[in-house]
Amino acid sequence: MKCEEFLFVIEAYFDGETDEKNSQLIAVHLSDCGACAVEYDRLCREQELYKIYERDISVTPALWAGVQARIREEKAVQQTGRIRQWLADFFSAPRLSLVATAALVVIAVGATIAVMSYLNSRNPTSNPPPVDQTARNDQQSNSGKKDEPDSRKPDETAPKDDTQSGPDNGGNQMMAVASRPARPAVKAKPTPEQLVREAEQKYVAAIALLSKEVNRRRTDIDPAVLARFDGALAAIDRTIEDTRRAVRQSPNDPIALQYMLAAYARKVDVLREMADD
Amino acid sequence: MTKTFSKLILTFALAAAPLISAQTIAAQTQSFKLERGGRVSIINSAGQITVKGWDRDTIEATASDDETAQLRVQITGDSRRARVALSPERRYGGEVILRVFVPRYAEIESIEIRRGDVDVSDIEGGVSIASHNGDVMATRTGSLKIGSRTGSVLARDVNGSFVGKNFSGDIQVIGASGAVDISCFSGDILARNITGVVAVNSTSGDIQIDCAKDRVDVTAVSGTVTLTGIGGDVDANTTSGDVIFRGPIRASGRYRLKSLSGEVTMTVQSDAPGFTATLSTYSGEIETAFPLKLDSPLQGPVNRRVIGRYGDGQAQIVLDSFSGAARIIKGAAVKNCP
Repeated sequence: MKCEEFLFVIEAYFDGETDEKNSQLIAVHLSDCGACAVEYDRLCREQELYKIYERDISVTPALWAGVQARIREEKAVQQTGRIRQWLADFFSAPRLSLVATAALVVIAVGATIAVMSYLNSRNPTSNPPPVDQTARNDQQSNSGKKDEPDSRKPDETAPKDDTQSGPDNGGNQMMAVASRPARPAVKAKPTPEQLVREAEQKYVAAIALLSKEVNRRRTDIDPAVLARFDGALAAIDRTIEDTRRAVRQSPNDPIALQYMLAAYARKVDVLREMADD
Repeated sequence: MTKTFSKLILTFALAAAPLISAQTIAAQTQSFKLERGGRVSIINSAGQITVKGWDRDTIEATASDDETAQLRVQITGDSRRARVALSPERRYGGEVILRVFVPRYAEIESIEIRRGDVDVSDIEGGVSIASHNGDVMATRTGSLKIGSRTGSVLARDVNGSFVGKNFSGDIQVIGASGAVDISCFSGDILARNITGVVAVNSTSGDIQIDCAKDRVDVTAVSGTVTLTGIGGDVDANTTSGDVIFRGPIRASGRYRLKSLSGEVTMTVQSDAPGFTATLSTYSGEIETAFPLKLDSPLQGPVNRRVIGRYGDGQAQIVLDSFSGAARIIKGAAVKNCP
């Protein structure tokens, strides 16, 4: 007998449903094939496990009638529930693979490093003005120069409407326009608060994904281990809350921020370990 | 006719059962020669594996259980590499006690068991154990590598390095002449009398490291970290537990103890060598029993940092906590480590 053939009838053999001739062939194969023996052993252990949870429950007619009625109700609800479920799935957090989650974590860590580098490069005694104020200052400085003689060269002047150019100067103006360098687009620098919020959001997203994965597997985890895991998470959550409070009170304090992001990072590590197991 | 014949067979089997059982309990033994440098792998699905080194140059294996089945131990391979396993004729779901004697010089390439305990002793070569559910004990072995899912791990007198990974269960290493590397998700960790570098990574559980001659690196999430009698540099980092260091510090030592929400306490000898200490805490207290020449004074009610020198300032101490206290205390000398 070949292994493929054995695996096909393994359950029937366990249930005693194979005829005598096949049972003998299977028994001989089991004695010769270690791999199939391991599979059979696994099936036996599985059945032993199920037996532990067997209960002597007798099903009364009333109980069965109640079950049937609920099945009919649920079918009716399912029709309307499908659309609701679709909407819920559409707006719920996407279920990503662990690879994608790990990528998200890497992005969160990268964002953390970017925030830290940005804050550490700043002079702690002075706060740079926000982007809009800088723009306002530029406008003011430009408007202040309105009365000053324009010392800029003709080809650096603001672009004029081509239709207004005279026939004599049309060519020269066209050349001036063509040779004028393009003004670079002004890109607003993210503020520290924005960077922090971004980093925090990325951590929160990674935590949500990993928590979903871990919750799926909760029933498979030993209760004692689960209790310790929940305890560790609760302690980290308290620390996250404390550090977030500190950041809210001192939003420009990089030290408070480092603590908060470190706490988030630790929670991600713990969840990943649990999810990877 | 068929029914009568079947009844006869059944009657005979029942009558002979005690005799058959007695024979299987008496067990089956096999012997196999292994040369120096030889490697052995041992596998038993469920039950128990006991491996002991002896002064002979052969492998002998005994398998026994209390079920009515024929047990046979298969030792396959050659004198350089042997494999000890039970034959699949045993009754499935039953537990088997497998006892293996190997030459002391053997290297135990792998011991595999799904369910059951492992006990290994007196092996000069390296030992590698993969256990799913059960306790593991190893005594007087060469370099030791243990991977376990659930169950406790106890290793004593490891002549070489120790690498232990466990998902759930305590890990104890007492006496190792090489580096120790422990990863545990849920369980307490104890490492004592370690000559090499110690690296510990734990999520939930207390960590205690006593008398480590070299560098110690600890990363933990929840649980107290206690370091006593550490001869090398220290880097201990935990999220929600306390970090406690007791013991003499070295003149050129580097000590970095951090906790997010726990307290960080360093108890050093009264006649400590000079050190530069950076004590920082966001919302906790800073205390030092040593008079420090402050390079940076204590600041406001939150986000405090003290940087100061004691003596020549040669050793470096960094204690940091977000919400707990950061303390340097004078204390009595710790018991001498071997």
